[in-house]
Parts: sequence; C-alpha cells; structure tokens
Amino acid sequence: MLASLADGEKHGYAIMVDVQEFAGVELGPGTLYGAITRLEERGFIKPVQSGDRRQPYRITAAGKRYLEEELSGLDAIVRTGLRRLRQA
Amino acid sequence: MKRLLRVASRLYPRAWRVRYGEEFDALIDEMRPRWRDLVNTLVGALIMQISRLALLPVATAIIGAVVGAAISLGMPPVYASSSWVLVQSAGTSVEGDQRIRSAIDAALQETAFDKKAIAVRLHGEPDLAPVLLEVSVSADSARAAQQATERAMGKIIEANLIVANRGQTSGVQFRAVQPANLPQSSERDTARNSAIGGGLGFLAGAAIVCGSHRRRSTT
Repeated sequence: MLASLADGEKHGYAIMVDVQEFAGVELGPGTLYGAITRLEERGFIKPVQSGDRRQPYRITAAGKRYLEEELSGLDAIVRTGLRRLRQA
Repeated sequence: MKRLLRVASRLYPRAWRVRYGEEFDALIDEMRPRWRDLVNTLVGALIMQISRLALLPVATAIIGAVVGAAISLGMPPVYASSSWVLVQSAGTSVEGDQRIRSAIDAALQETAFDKKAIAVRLHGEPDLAPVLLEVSVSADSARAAQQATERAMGKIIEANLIVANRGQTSGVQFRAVQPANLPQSSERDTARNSAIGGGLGFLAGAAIVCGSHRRRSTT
C-alpha cells in the first residue's frame, strides 16, 4: 500500500486497482481498510482534503522512510538470492 | 451483494464507522464485489473488533489472576501426602474389586482419621491383578500429612499380616511399593499458581494475537 502511494495520492479503490496491477495481489475491502487504519494510526499515511466521498490518502515523510527501509531490506535479500543462484 | 457488504460493514466498531464508514461505502459502490469480498469484510470487522477490545481481555486476565491469587491465599493450607501399594486379589473382576475395597475399609476402620481426609484410589483392573492402590491423606501441615499417610499404610499392611498369621486368607495381599512422600506444596499454593499462571497465559495469548495482527496489517 505504501508503495502504491509512493507516486502520489490515491483513494481506496485506486489503491486496490494499483496494487493488483503492480503486485498481482487482490486486496479485499476488509484487508484494504484494515491496512489504511493501521497505517494512519502509525502516521505513515494522511487523508487529503477532498469534497468527494472517496477519501484520497498520501504517504507522509515517516511513511517514506519506513518504505525505504523495508524495500532496502527486500532488495538485499533479492540481490543475495540472485547472486547465489548464479554461483550455483 | 453490495447491500450485503454494507450490512457487513455495520459490524465494524462504532468509532471506526464514524471515521471510515462513508469512504468504505464509497469503495463498495465503486467496486464489483464477489462473495470472497463479503467474507473479507466480515473477517476485517471481526479483527477490528478484537483489536479495539484488546484492553478488555488483558484487564480481565490481570484481574482474574489477582482475584484468584487473593482467594487462594484466604484458603487454609492443605497438604496431601500419598503412598502406593501393590494389591493382589484372588478374586476376579467385580468380585476382586469388592474384596479389595472391603479389606481396605476394614483396615482403615480402626484409624482415628477424618474419613474425608483419606482418599483411596485403585489404579488398574482387579481382574488384571496386581493393581496399584494409592492412599492419600490430607492435613494442615506437610509433616502431619506424611505421618497420617504412614499410619494409614501401617494399618493396611498390619491387617494383612494379622489375617496371614491366623492362617486365614482374605483373598487380598498388600505390598508397599512407595512410602508416604513429604508434600512440597499445599493445594492452596497449587490453586494460587494455577490462577496466576492461567491469567498470565491468557495475557500472553492476547498479546501474541494482537501483536501478530498489527504486524500483518502494517507491512
């Protein structure tokens, strides 16, 4: 979800579609709003002023830092795994 | 299906509904829901309810442990010592069981113990003799419980010897295999430990459930 919001603000349905496109994961409405609730509580995302019923969210500075840390960790695992596969 | 999803969304906590209800309904309007989305919403509501009520089970566990410990401390200490005897019966099946119980009752009849303080349990089937007999006596101190158990055992063995010396046979033979032990803790201690242990166990369970849910939702 944080990766989905990294390139700009999105509302719930847009996040759902985006995550399915780039990660191949289908988020149910319960899962999506469970994550939105937690991420907002932790200060990683913020609602954006909107006159629409569909509430857009944007990633915060803390959310960006957290996402970078998580992706760096994943990147190290992916690079190590690929290197070892090539050596085998 | 959309109507069912809206009904399911009413199961979320009231505070959550106030904050996210309208945008959640907007999401439902925009998507083409399937049955699994209904299940997903129901599970989401359940998890949200549990996470919002997390303080309640934790508080209940702590209060339960403290109250249980306090009640057990108010109980008088009771120590139970036990001893084991090997029993051989000449009879079979129900008849053998009756012979054993009659012999034990006769032996213990002479003792001055409170009958409620003595527990006699047979382990095994009399027709598959020998069986094990557990004699347990409760008292208000560990040493008194051990001595009382030793006396009860003495009576049982003594009754057996008297029968043997008279050249009669009761059809039952007793042989002590484990002397009376000195109990290390009272039943009150056990009750208190159970109450505290149960409360802490529940607390740890609630913490694990809530912790794993939080981790899953944010990554």
